[in-house]
Amino acid sequence: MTAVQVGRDAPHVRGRRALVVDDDEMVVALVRAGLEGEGVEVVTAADGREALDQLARSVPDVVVSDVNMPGMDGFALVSRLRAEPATRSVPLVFLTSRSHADDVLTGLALGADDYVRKPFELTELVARVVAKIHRPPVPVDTLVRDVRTGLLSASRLHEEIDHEAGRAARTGRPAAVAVLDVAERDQLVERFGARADDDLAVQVAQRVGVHLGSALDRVARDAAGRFLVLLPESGPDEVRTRLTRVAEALAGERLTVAGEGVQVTPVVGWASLDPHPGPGAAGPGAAELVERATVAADAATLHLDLQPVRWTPALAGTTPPAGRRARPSRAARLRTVLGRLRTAWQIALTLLLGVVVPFAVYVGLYELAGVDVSRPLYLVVVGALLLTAGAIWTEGFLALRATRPPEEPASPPPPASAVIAAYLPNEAATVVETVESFLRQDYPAGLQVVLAYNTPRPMAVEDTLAQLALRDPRLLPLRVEGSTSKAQNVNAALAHVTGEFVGVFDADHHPDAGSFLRAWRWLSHGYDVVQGHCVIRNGDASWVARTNAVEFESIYAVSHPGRARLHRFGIFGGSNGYWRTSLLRQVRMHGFMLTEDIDSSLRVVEEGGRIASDPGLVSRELAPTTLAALWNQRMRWAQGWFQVSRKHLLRAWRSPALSLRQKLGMTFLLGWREVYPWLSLQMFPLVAFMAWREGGADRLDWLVPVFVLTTLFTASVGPGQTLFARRLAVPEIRRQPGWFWRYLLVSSFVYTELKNVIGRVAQVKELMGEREWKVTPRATAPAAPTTPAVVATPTVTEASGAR
Amino acid sequence: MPGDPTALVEQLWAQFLPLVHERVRLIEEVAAGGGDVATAGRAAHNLAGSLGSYGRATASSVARELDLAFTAGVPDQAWLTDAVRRLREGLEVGRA
Repeated sequence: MTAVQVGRDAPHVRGRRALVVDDDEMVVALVRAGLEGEGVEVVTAADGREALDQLARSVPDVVVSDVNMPGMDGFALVSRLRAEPATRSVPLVFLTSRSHADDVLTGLALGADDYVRKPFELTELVARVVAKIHRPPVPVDTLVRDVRTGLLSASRLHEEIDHEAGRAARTGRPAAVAVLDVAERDQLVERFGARADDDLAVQVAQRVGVHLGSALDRVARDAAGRFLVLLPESGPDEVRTRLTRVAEALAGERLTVAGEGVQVTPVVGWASLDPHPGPGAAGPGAAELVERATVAADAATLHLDLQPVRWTPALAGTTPPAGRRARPSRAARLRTVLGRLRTAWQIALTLLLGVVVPFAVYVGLYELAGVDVSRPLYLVVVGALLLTAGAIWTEGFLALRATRPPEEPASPPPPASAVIAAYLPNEAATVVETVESFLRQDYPAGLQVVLAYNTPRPMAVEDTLAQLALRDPRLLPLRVEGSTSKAQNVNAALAHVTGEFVGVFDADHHPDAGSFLRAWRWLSHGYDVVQGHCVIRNGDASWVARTNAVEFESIYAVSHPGRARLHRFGIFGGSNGYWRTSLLRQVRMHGFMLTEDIDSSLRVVEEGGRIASDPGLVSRELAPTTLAALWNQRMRWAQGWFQVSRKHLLRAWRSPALSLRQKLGMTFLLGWREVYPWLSLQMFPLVAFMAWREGGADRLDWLVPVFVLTTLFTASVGPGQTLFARRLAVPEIRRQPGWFWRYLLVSSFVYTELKNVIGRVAQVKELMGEREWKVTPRATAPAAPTTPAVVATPTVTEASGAR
Repeated sequence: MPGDPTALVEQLWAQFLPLVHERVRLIEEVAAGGGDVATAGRAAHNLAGSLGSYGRATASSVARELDLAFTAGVPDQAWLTDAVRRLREGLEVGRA
C-alpha cells in the first residue's frame, strides 16, 4: 500500500506474517488492508482465544491486538504469549482505546512492545508494525508483574528474597520462603486446556493474598505455575500457622475452572531463611531457598494432608529435585522410549503385512505361476470400499429420521439409581460437582446416586463426599476395596442399587436434567437398555478436544442411531447408558474384557435383549485434550473391539435369538470393522503391482471410470459424515461451524487414516498379548510412591466406553 | 497495495456503512427505552474504536462519549437520544 507511504524507507517485510486480533471487523479490515499493502500476509482472530488457536497453528512475525475484547482479552493474550517459549519473543502491538488510558501502562507491563491508540492513523499504525517486525521485542524476563494475578515475576521475587536474606542475617530476624501448588493442577490443565492454569492462578492468588495476610508484593508465580511466597519477619511457628490457614482455606473452597466448580488440594513446602549462617558464612541464596521449599512441597504431595512441610536436610534426596517432580525416573523414561519404539515397529509391521507382502505375493504369482490376480482383486477392493462407503451413507440417512422415545411411559416412573464409576485420584477435583449435578436431576420417583470408586490411598475429598451423603441420603459414596477396573466398581455398586433401573456413568458426566425420566420412557416400553448421546463439553480446550467434539456428534447423533435402525440393535457405549437393574445384575460387567461395555451389550443382544439408541438423551463429558491421550484412548478402544470381535462374532451367528439382519449387522460391526483397516490399504499394493507390470506408473490409465467413481464416492464419506453430524448435532456444538470445517480437514487428511493405523496396530498388540496400559493422561498427577507408572489393567477412567 | 490511503479507507467505509448504521440503531433502541444495554454498549465501544480511524472525527468523538457513558452504567434516555442525534449528524458530515 503506497497508502501507507512507509514503503520507501521501510525494511523489507514482504511475505512476513501478522496476526491481527480485534472483535471489530471494521478495525480488522482496515489494519489488514494497510498491512497487506506492505506485502505483509495477514491472518485474523476475533478474540484472544481464537488468536491462541492461530498461534498454535503457526507463529507470526508480529501480533497486532485490541485490548478490550469479549472472551479472552488482549491482556490475557499477551500473558499467554509471553509464557510460551515458542511465542515469547513475538513482537506485539496493542491497539488501546483513548478512553482507557491505563491500558497502555498495563499492556507495556505485561510485555507489549508498542501501542497505538484508537482511533489511529493507518499510516502511523502500519509504520509502527512494520518497524516492530524488525526490532527485538521487550525481553520477557524484565517484566515485573503479572497483571492478571497481581503477582510478581519469579525473578523479581528472587531479588526480594536475597534482599530479605541479607536483612535477616544482619538483624537476626527470622523469615521463610514457601512454595504453594495445587495437586490437581496438571489434571485440570489436561482436561480443560491451558486456561485452567490461568483460572486457577487468579483465584489461588486472590485467596493467598486474603488468607496469608500478606501483600501480593511478596507472592510470585514461577515458570512452572507454582506460587512462591516470601514471609518476612516470621518465626517457624507463625509460618506454619499461616501456611496451614491458607491450605485449609483453599481446600475448603469451591473454585471455578473453565466454568466448572472444582475442589483442589493445596500442597505447601517451606524453608527458613537462616538468620545465623555462622561467622564468615553466607546463607543460602534465593535460588537455593526456593529449591528447598520446592523439595518440601514435593514431599507434601506425597501426603496431601494440607500440612505444610518444612525443608530439613533430611528431605534432600528423598524427593526429586525442584522442577523434576513430574519427570519420570530413567528406567521409566527408558520404558517409555522402548514402548514408543515397539509401537513404531508394530506400525512398520502392519505396513509390511498390509502392503509389502501382498505386493510380493502378486509379483510372485505373476512371475512364477503366470497368474495375474490384480483384476479380480481390484474389483474385490473396489467393492469393499463401495460397500463401506455405502453403509456409512446409509447410516447417515437413517439417522435423519429422528429416533424418539414413546411420548408417555407405559407405567409410572419407578425409583431409579445412577452408578458413577470413578478412579478417585483422577477425579478428586471435579467429582463433587459431578455428584451434585446428579442430585439436581429432575426425577419424580426418587433417584439414588451411587458413587462407586477405587483409590490407592485415602483422599481428602472422601470426607467431603461423606458430609454430602449425611446431608443428602440419596447419595451413597462406595469405596470398592481392591478394585482396579470400572467393571469391578459397577458390579460392586449393584449390591447397593435400589432403583428399578440404573444409569451407568463415568465420573466426568453431567446428564441433562430430565434424562432419567426420558430413559424410563424407553425402558417402560419393553427396551432393556437405552444408550444416550454423549456430548463433549470441553471442546474449547484444544484442537484435539474440538476434533473429538465433532466426532462424538458423528458417533452419537449419526452412527449409533443410524446403525440401530439399520442393524436392528443398539449397543451400550460404557457411559450414559440406562439398564433394567435386574438385567444388569444378570449380565454384569467383565473386568477381563478391555471394553467391558461392548461385551456386556453384545451378551444382551445375543440373548434377545433390546437396546435403543436415543440421540436426545444427552449427557456431557470431557474429551482427551492431547494427541498422546487420544492415541492411548483409541488404542485401548480398538484393542477392546478386536477382543470383543474375536469373542462374539461366531456367538452372534450361533445365537437363535438374532434375526438374519441382526447377524449381518453383527458381521459388519465386528468382522468388517476389523478387516476394513487392512482393506483400506489394499489399493496401494494393487496399483504398485499394476505399475510394475506395465513398466511405470505413467503407463497406467488412471481415468478408468470404476477407479474414478470409487475414489469420488469413498472421498465423499468424510464430507458426508461431517454434514450429517452438523445437521444432527446438539445446538452448542452446531453453533461452532469452524469446528466442523476443521474436523472435515483433519479427518479427511489425517484422522481417518490415524484411526486405521490404530485399528491395525491394536490387532497386533492384542495378538502379541500386549496389555500394558499407560494411565495417561492423568498419570502426571501427583501420585503416591506406591502407584505404578504403568499398570497391567485399565483403570476406570481409561477403560470407559469403546463407542 | 496500489492507490492512496484515503481512497482505500473510503472504499472500506462504503463497505461497512450498513454495519455502522446497524450499530447506531442498537444504541437508538436503548435511547427509545428498549433494546439491550450490553449490546448497545458494545456497539458504542466498537464505533468509538473505528469511526475515528475511518476519518470520521466528529462522529468518533460522540461515539467516545457514548462508550464512556455506557461504561459508567445505563445512560439517561434524553441524553442518549441527543447523543444519537449528534452521532447521526457527525456521520452525515462525513470525513473530517
